[in-house]
Amino acid sequence: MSLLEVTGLSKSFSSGRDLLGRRNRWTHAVRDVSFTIDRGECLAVVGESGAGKSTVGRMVLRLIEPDTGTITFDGVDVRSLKGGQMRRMRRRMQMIFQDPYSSLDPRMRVADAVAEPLVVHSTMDAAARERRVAELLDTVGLGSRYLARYPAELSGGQLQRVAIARALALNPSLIVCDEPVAALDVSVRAQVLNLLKDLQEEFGLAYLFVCHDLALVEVIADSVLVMAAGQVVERGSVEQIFRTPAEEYTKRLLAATPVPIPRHSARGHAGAPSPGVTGV
Amino acid sequence: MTIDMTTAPDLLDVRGLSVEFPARGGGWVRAVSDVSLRVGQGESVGLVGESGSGKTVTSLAVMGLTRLTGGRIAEGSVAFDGRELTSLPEREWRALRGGGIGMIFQQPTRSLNPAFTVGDQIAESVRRHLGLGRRAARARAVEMLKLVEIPRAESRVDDYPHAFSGGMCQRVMIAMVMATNPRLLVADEPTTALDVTVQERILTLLRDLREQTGVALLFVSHDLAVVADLCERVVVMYAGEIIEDGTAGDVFYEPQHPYSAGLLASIPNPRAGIGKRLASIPGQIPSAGTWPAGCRFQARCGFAVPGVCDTAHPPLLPSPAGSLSRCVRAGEITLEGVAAG
Repeated sequence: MSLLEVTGLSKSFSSGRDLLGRRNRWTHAVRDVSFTIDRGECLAVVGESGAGKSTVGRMVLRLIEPDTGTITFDGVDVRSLKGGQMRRMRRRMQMIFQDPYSSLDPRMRVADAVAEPLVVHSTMDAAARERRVAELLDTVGLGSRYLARYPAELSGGQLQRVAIARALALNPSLIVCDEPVAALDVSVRAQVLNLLKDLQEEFGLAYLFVCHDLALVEVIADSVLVMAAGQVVERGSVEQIFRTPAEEYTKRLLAATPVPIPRHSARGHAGAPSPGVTGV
Repeated sequence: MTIDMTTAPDLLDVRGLSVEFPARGGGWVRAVSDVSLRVGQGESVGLVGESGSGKTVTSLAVMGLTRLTGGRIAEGSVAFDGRELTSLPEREWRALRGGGIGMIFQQPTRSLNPAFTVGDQIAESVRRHLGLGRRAARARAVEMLKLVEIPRAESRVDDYPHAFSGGMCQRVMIAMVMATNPRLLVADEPTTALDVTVQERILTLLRDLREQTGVALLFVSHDLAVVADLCERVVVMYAGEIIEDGTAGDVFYEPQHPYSAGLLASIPNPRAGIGKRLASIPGQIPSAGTWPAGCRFQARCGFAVPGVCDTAHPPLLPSPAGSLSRCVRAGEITLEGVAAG
C-alpha cells in the first residue's frame, strides 16, 4: 500500500462576480490530478508558474480544501477527518515553505520555533522537549549555539535548516516541500538539498517536492510528476522523465533548462584580461 | 562579430572601484573593494556571484546609480568609451543612460510605468534621446516591438503594461532600452523571475540582438548555467571583490580559484548523472564589514593553509592557465571544472 494516494483532485478559484455578486468566472487551478507516493519516496511535482503544483501540495495537507477528489494517507481518508482528528494527522504530514524569512516568526527564538510543534502536539515535559530540540538542531547541522538566536540573526540557509528541524519534530512520514531551496544562494542550495537527502535515507521520509527547476529535481527525486495548466502531463521515474520523456511538453521543459556548459568555449586570451595586467 | 581586442579601446573600463554604504553605527562600510573590470566593444561578460558578493553594487556603480541607492564611490574610476563617469553631473548621466548604456532589471513589471501605454513609454525615450518627432517616435516604438518579437506589434504598441505577461514585459523593457541604440547593455538578473521556457526565449533574443546590433553585454547573475549560455568572459565575485576573471571556456573547464570550482560543483550538471549528490561549500559568505585579513574565502576553503592564506590579502594575478585568480595557491592546486562535452 502506498503512503499517500491521491485521486481525481480538483480545485477551482473564482475570479469574477456577476451583477448580483454571484461568482461567475472560475479558474481551474488543478484538474483531476492523481498520484501515489510510497514510504521513503521523493516525488517531484514540476511545471511552470500557474501549473498548479503548489496548490496540489497544499491540498494534500488540506491547507487548501479541494473541490473534489480523495486523499488517502496510510489508509485513512484524509478529507473525512474532523478538526481534532485532522490536527493529529498533521503530525505525520509536515510542510516546508519556499521563503524561510517569512515562514518563521521573527519574534520567536530558534529553540521556541522548533519546540512549538512539540508543545502543540505532544505530551512531552519541558526537560524532554529541551533534549528533543537540541537533538533536532543537531540533526539539521545547526548545533545548540543557535538555540537562543532570533531569525534575523540567521542566514537563509540556516533559517531553512530551522524550518526543516521544526518539520521533523513530530517524526512525520511525509513532508511537503514547496520550492524549499528556491530562495537560497547557489552554494547553500546544495547544502540544504543534501541535508534533505540525508534525512530521507535516515528516517525513511517521503517527500512531495514542488519545484520549478528540473536540474534540481534530477538530484533529489525518485519520480516526477509533470504538470501544466492544472493537469498532469506525464508521470514517471526520474530516469524515464529525464532520459526518455514521452510528452512534447516535458521535452520542451528539459530543453529549456540551461546547463552549465559554456556556449563560447574559447580558451586562453580570446577576450582577456583586465586592466593593468597583460597575459602571462 | 570579431573585433581585435588589442587595438579596440575598451567600451567599459572600471578601475580600482570601491563602493561604501552607511554603517548602522555611523561611518561607512565597504561593500565592493578594488574592482577592476572591462568590457570590450561588442563583448559579453558575465558578472557572477551570490548575494553579498557585490555584483549588483558594482553594476549600479557602472550605471551611476550609487548615490541614488544611498552609497558612495570611495575610490576608483568608471570610464565608458574613454570618458570618466564618476564625476559626471546628473544631467549628462541622463543623456548617457539613453544612447550609451542601457539597463534591464529583474522585475520588468515594476520597471514600466503602469499609467502609460508601452508605445508611449518607448516613444518618450526615443524622443528625448534621439530627438525624433512624435510620428517617427511611434514608428520607432513599433519597429522595436517587432525587433523583440512581440506578436502584432502594431496593435500591442497601444496596450498598457498590465496586458503583458512577465516575459513579454521583459521584451518591452529590452525594446525600450534598445530603441536608443545603446552600445552597452547592463542586465541584472533579467531572467531570474521568469519561467524556464520564457527565460530560454529571452536569452535567445539577447543573443540575436547582440548579433544584429553589436551591443556589448554586462550580464549580472547568480546563475552559472545561464551565464554559460550567454557570455564569452566570466568574472566571479566573492565578498566584494573579483576572485577570478577569464574566458568562459577557461573558468568553466579549468577554474583557477577554489570558490569558482566550488560554485561549479554545487550546481547540477546533467552530464554527472541522475541522483548524484552535489558538492557543497560549507559555511556562508562573510558580510560586508566582517571580511577577514588575508583571503576572504579561507574559512570555507578546503585548500587554505595557515600562515599562507590568512596573512596577506591575495592580489588578482594571472594563473598558469590564463585566467586571473585571487588565490595564492592557484599554481599548486588542482581544481575540477565542469566535465567537458
